[in-house]
Amino acid sequence: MNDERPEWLDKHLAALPREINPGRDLWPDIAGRIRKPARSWLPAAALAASVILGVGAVWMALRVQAPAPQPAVAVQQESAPQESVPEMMTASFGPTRARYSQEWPQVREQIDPATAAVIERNLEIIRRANADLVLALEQQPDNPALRRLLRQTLAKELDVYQQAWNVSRRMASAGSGPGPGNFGGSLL
Amino acid sequence: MELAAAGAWGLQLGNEESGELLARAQAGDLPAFSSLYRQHHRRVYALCTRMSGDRALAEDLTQETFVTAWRKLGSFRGESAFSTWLHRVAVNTVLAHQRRNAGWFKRVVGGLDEFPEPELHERPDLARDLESAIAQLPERARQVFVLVDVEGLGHREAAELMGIAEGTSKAQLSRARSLLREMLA
Repeated sequence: MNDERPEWLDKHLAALPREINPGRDLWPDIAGRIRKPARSWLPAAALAASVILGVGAVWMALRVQAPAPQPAVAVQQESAPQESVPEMMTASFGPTRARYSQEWPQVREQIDPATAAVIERNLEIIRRANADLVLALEQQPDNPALRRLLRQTLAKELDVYQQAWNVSRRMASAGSGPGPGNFGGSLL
Repeated sequence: MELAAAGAWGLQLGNEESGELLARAQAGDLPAFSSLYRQHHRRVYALCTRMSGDRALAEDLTQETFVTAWRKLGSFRGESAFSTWLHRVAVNTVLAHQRRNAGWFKRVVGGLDEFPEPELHERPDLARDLESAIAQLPERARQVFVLVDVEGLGHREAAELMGIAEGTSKAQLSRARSLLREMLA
């Protein structure tokens, strides 16, 4: 197999930035987690399975978890973020979700009813998962696995909206209508 | 090519101040570790973003990387550059996350019904730059591409990190390049 990097790719790679700035300051959370006692989190998969079955199992799991002793490391105290994790994480997707949700009825008009029904079923599945994860995070706000799963499901919800918009746009361009207004357009 | 030639992971700390910061952080000095974070977090975030294909998730993975790095700092003996060690922690964090959570997330996503999607060339958000195109690659092809072509690792090292055969790494890189060429054409 020829493993030599092709010339066309070199040009693109040369333009690729070495560094990317995160969209938010990541340090306060890191410092907060470092200050806290190490905890033996339940395996993420087990927690996630509990989430999908219902938050009751997660609450039970929380009750039996005991924090490990504080590590003997001298660190400076810093103020912890005041906003709850579910609020913070939902807020980061909030404006986009709100706009997609608001414009969904208009998009729905552009696509055939069967496809629209599938999309709405998918959205419902994702929203139930989101809701369960938010509830679980209220009990374990610092659990990184739950936080990541919530980010993934929130992103998946936006992805389904985006796919719906793609379908409506395709149907509009095929001549079945003018297409949705600006659903998603300004969000891309 | 600058990135590969520089061997992105081989960057040295560069000055005595950084070495002192590292020594202080190893002794448990959080402000010193904060300074190391400020020096390195953009590179780590870039790596996590490209490996995961998800900027929001990459923020969490970057945080997890630095929390893990803090906890393991005592085991860093300076046998490689700190940035090399840190980037390995980042790659392991991304891969461990995917191994842990793929099952649940796939079950949720797998519960979703299919509906007809437009062809790739009709998508309004079709990636036109390499950064966006990388994010659209299949997971394993993307990760091999990032490790080998972006980060400058050899196939042996990339395969070892990912727990795959060297031949698989080569095949995935070839696949990634073909897909990227198609997307960027």
